[in-house]
Amino acid sequence: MSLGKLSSIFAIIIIAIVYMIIFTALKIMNKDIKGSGRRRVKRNSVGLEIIKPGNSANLRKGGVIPIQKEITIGRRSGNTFVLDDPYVSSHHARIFAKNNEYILEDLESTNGTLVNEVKISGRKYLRSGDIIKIGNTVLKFIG
Amino acid sequence: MNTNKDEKKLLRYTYLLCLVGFFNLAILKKPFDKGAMIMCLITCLLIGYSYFIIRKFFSDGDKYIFIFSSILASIGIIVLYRIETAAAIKQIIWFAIGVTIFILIVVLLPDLKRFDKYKYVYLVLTIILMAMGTLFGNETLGARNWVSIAGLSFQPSEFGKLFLVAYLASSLKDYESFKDLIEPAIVVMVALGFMVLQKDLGSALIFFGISVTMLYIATSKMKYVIICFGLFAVGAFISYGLFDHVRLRFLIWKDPWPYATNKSYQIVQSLLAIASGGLTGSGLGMGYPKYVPVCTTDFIFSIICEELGILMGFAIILLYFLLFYRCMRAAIYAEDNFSRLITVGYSAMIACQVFVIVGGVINMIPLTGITLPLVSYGGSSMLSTFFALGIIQKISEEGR
Repeated sequence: MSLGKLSSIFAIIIIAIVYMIIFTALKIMNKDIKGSGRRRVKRNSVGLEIIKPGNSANLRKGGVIPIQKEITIGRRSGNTFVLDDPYVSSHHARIFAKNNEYILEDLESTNGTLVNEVKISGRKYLRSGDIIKIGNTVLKFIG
Repeated sequence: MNTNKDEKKLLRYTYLLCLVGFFNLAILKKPFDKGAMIMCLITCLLIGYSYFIIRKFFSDGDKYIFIFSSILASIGIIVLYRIETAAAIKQIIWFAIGVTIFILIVVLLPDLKRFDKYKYVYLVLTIILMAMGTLFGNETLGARNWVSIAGLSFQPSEFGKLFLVAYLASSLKDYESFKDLIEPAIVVMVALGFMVLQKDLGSALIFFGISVTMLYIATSKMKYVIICFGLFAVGAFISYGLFDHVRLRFLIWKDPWPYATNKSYQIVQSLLAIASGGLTGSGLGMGYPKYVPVCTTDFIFSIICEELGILMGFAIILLYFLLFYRCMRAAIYAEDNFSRLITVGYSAMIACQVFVIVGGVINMIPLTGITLPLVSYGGSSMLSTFFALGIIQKISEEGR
């Protein structure tokens, strides 16, 4: 095959690759346009609303603690969310994200954690509106 | 995380493009040209490594901006290697420096909002950079736009464009009424005046395009845009009367054929090259770039159309359009006026540049001496484009 013919074939292959790139990119952009409405909301507005502050001095009713990927709840000062309540263990519970779902895990606390009046053991998926009771503090999960 | 798959797919196509392109160049020389495959390896490594860094540390931002710019840059490197190996090697170095600047801007800069206070700093820097060309410039290829410092020559107007956008963003963000427009208008007119004096009409056109776009986005009033076009017509008329280089450009634009051997040689050769390429081109290495002057910078689009066809030229325009779309999308999610205006300004800068040079090369508008961003050989052009893209990337990160 002469070099001329070969070069023309190569040119066609190169053009085809670039158009595949453009086509793939357009498909991605299209997906992006379709999905951009709902994607924004999920990220930033997951949190715990304080329904009853219990004995903690630093909480007010109606306040919202935002959750960025993970929070730990307990009496110890190393926790992200410190509850100064005698019925709360030093490391009471943990809320974390897994594949866009949030999970509440009870860290073997003395008095247990209640979700919608049901005592949980280990891990439980949280849904928006679930009422979490830790000691004397009542929180609502907003997601 | 499902966007990861799409990005990886695009990236794989980019590597494939580099591979096939450089392989084509490699088999052109008598025995196998190992240099081409080494270039391919370096390019792919550079792109892959930078993508990895951007994804790992700054996964909030808009990854497609980097991918599209690296596709364009690799097309540029492939074609430059075919034209002149030394230029391609230098281009890879500029590309590497450009990507480094891109990543550094995203890493080091604090959030952009606090830069909106330095309006007068930008103003002074813009005027200095514009004036540098007029005062210290050496005339190269018909424009007094190049300044050499310590052996390296650069175009101060390329960097002046960046500061002009910053200045316009910081002064237009508080737009309330017509009075706020007077000061930026004077600055823009002075900058345009310097550009025309330096015979760099392409940059003048780009400045004008950027200013009108930012004006419209800031004020949302069509009547200002119409007034600007009117002023442009008046200015063009006056400069046609005053300067003979403007007259020359118009002459060879309206009818290039009678002067094919002297005045309009460049544009005629470019038109012939594009036409002889046809739909799919004559193939890499089969064209005659030595008949087209300034082929590594201004007329690289003609060379691409000659060797890879008008389909490739069209594809490049589409890629620029996609890049422009991603940049404007970052503007939509920006939080405050200053960031939004800067994003629009830099996106308009790249888009106007593409429009002016492609239009000039195909004789749709009078020819000017502008480079095709990311594809043409040129340090200042590559660095300023990556600087602008870096700022846009930073803003896209804050928004999402």
